Amino acid sequence: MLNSLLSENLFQITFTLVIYTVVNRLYKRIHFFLFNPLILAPAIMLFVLHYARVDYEVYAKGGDMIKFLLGPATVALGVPLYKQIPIIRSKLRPILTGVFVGSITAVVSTVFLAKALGANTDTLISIAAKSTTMPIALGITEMLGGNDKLIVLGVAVTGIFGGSIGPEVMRLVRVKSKIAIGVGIGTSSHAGGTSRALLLGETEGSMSGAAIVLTGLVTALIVPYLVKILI
Amino acid sequence: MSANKIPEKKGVKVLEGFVIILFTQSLGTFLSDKYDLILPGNLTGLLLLFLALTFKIVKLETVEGAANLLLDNMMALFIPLNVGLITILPKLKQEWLAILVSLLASTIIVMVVTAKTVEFTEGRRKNVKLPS
Repeated sequence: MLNSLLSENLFQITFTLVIYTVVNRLYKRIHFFLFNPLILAPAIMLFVLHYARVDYEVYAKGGDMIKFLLGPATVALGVPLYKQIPIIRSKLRPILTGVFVGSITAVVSTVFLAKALGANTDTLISIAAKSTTMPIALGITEMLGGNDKLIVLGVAVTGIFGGSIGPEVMRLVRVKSKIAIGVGIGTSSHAGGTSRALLLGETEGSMSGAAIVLTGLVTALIVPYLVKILI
Repeated sequence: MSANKIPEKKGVKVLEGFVIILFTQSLGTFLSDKYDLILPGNLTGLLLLFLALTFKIVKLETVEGAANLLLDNMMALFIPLNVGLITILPKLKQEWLAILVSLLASTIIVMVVTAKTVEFTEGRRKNVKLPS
């Protein structure tokens, strides 16, 4: 019975959202990284699909309907960008310089390292945008012709990793400026890092948040050229 | 006109905001396609929404509800793609080390380079100011 239910698009969507809602509540209570909705929710979903013997291709039809909202979610990022303008203007030069240099560094270092370690070309273009926020990263990767699943994994790993080591790395390299810490964490690891930067303080959090959309925009503008040179 | 206006309903506003977002997305996609812009359509839409807010063509309160609804629940939208990782498992098995190492190392590099750049830019400005 579960098999025929999970073959219906409506049920696929509903079930995905139910799992998300439950996992989200759990994660809010117990902040353990394996309970992260991006890890635990797909894991449960996979387990259920496997148990009910539903092929991914069948599930993906309902999944695609959820993905339709990614476009509007990208456009919606214009709202936080607008709200952050006073913060960005207060430290315009340091923020823009940091984001610009950081965005170039992100694409170059990711592609260069992965290539040196023997990754295929389609892998390289699928992780090049890993330091940008999820919907923007997907847009960029689609434009480059990369794999949408791989970039989602890349962005998630980057965010979770940046969020767990950001402040420690900053201490290790003796960065003291709160603005530098915030922009550094936000440019490298988007929302994942920002959630941790917010715990450091208001300046660090708001700077990190302001860097997210800017990094996405700058990366989208430079990535086509960098990829041409690097690959 | 009339003194007692009908109170605006919250749900209506969220839909209004959503319509504005969809319209901006359509316009952005159209412009990106037509003029062959470097930015993907959705990002052109992002900039258009930002400009519309900046030039007060659209009020913040009109789009804020819809935008928050989308942004606060964004993770839900990625679950199908993460489930889809199962389809690229052979590729991941082969290249996981290169992918993981480059992702993690690059994250640290970007963090340090960006933070140092910001500190340098801040510091230089202070030095410039001192003599004056």
